[in-house]
Amino acid sequence: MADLGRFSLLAAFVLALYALLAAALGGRARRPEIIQSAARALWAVAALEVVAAAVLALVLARRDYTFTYVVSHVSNAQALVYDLTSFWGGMEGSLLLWALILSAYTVLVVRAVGRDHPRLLPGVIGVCAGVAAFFLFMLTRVTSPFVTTPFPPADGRGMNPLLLNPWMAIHPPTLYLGFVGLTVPFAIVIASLLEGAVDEGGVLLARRWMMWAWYCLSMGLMFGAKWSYVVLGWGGYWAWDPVENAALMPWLVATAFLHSVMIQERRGMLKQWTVLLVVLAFGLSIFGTFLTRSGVLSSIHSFTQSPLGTYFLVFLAAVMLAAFGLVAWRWEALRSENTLDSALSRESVFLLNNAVFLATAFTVFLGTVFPVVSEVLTGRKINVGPPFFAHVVTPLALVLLLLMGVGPLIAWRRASPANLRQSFLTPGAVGVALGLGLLAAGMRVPGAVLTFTLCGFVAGTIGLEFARGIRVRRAHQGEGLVRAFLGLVLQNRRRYGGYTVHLGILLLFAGLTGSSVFSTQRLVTLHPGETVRIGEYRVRFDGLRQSTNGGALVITAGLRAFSGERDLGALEARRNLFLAGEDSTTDVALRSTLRDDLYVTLTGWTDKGDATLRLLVNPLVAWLWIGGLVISAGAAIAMLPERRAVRVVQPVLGGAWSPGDM
Amino acid sequence: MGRTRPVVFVGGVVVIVLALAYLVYGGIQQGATYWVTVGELLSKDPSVPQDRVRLGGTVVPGSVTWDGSHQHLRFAVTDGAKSIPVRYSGIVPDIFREGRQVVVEGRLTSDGAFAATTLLAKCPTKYNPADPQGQVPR
Repeated sequence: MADLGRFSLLAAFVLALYALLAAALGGRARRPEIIQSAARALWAVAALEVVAAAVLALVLARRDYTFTYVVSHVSNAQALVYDLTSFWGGMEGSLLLWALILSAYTVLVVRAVGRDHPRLLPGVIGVCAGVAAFFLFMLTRVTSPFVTTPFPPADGRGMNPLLLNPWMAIHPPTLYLGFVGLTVPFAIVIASLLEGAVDEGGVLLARRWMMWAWYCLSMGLMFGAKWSYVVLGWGGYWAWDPVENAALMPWLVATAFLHSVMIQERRGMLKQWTVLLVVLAFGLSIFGTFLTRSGVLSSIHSFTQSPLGTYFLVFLAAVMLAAFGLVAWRWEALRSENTLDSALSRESVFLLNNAVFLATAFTVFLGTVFPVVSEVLTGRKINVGPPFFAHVVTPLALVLLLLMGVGPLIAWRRASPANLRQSFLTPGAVGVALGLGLLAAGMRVPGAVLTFTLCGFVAGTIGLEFARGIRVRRAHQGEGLVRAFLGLVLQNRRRYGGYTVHLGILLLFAGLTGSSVFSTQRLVTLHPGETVRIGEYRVRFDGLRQSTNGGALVITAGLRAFSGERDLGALEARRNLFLAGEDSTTDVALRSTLRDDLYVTLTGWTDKGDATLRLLVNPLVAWLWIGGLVISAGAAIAMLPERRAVRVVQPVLGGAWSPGDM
Repeated sequence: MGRTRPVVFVGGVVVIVLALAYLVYGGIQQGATYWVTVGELLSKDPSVPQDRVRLGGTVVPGSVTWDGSHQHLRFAVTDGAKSIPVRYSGIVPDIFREGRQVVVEGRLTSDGAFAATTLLAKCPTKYNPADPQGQVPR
């Protein structure tokens, strides 16, 4: 079995190198049959990786402890489903998953490119084969999943119990679908640059793949946040940990791309910029994989200590140098046909939006690598923690929130003060009314009032856009309300899908603000029968219970929550003490409503039966998850195929908006 | 963007860069913590910061004690040669235990103990360690 796995990966590695070489030679000599053979080699790579993955999945499912990977991630007591998800629980398996997803994408994109843009085929094959070869090299030479041991133990060590959770089971593959998805637009762009300049067909194809990658990254980030919230028991969902930042950075750059590509499609501007964003997003996806998988994250270690890290950094540096060199070489060919007409236009709002997204990504990058940079510069490692990120990212995020409301209201090319006044009136009034309402209701935190005011403004903008579109359809085509709404969304999927995503982001902002600014917490030690008050809630401690569950001793604190005199029912906060590994996990007592979450963890207990509880009331957290769902719905709408956007040649007359605009 | 860029645009870029630099500077002022080892912290070398430092090391086996209510935690951290007592009350990660590697943030107090405001423990299986187990790196 081990030999089959090892052989498959080795053969795949050799074939990927062949595909790279054949694509280069075939592309240079313009010999379609050589290029075809390179494409077929990539099919074979995919098939061989499927074999290797099947071997790994099989030995995990069979708990074959002759494999060291199985020993470290599987145990007899572990549920079968988690034996299988431990495929991506460790470094070797997750690199194999990376390679596997890349091959699946490669097969898809090679087919599409071969059909629609045969010119780009050698470049796309070459880039995909090159990236695949790197990962296969790691899997065969550096960190093989098929290492066996001559003396297999009777039981494995199993995964860390913290990872045995449904959210953690789907979080890594989702994130990887996104990370790897960033390779495809990169391949398309590099192929276009090798051929000359990036044409519109290439951009559209790259955009579609970027949208998919963006969607997967968004969902991966949400799943990770949810896991952090319900499993780790610290009451938060985002800690600015390097692992989290690793996924956030490419997400930010991909978001910037999805906005600037609209300008490129509509106005033929920003070509150089979008190309740079694609290259950067790919680089950050490799950097992110390196961060999460090379051990540098244990935070105590310095970067590049493991051989794995060195390989990753060398690969990353080589690819980035080559890609940026190529962009520089084609710089003149990428020059845009059009220029910015006015500072007061939708184009300039998009430009500013891109600048802020990149500034945010840069900030996150700086904060993540600050220990390394400072060690090089000053000789002493300096860490910048959550205060740094909160200080820098919060204002940038608020600017983005503002721009999200301004963008749709402002005309392409050149906006006049008169039409600005007219289109800003309603959304501005909604925002100000919300802000004043909150002030009147007693909210006194300036940042929160500002954020909610901006949220109201953006909500007004989005509502106005939908309302105008529906009104125009009803007037022109005499449709009913529901029909007009559906027709509007389905015939302008990218536009209204985009607005739906904005709506989700808005809910996210509301949830973030509510839970970070207005969270209250208490740490108390209670005798059985005692009651503690937190926020509007009262929580009664009814005593401790002990039980066993699988290999764990479970300590349960029975609780009952009250709001005023109303009985909200029983809650249980648990600690699971694993007898084998000395590990422990927390089960949070969580009562979630749209208004706030009551979040209780059991942090300690005494022999006399007293319990120490940590209680939190986190307002509006539920809206984070709802926002995630809305984003996912919006992205799904936007990803449905649609006919091409029409370029704006004439300035739009008579206001910022016209039907079919965007 | 073409050859004729509006002055406003250039001005905008300058404003953004300056604003970002200002924000980053302020953020570093607020968030910076210095990495030190136990040996460095105990050496009383004036070049070693004493305030807002981040200390990495291994929890000394047998040193972990809780107070009666299980709210306040005391333990010692070692770099292999020297160790220092640590006081902490707050969220203790599930994976914290004796012999594990931890990072504490806080300051050295006048009584020679380290008052920690943050406690991070290293997850032993989630990531592969970059260096051999038990060796405390710089």
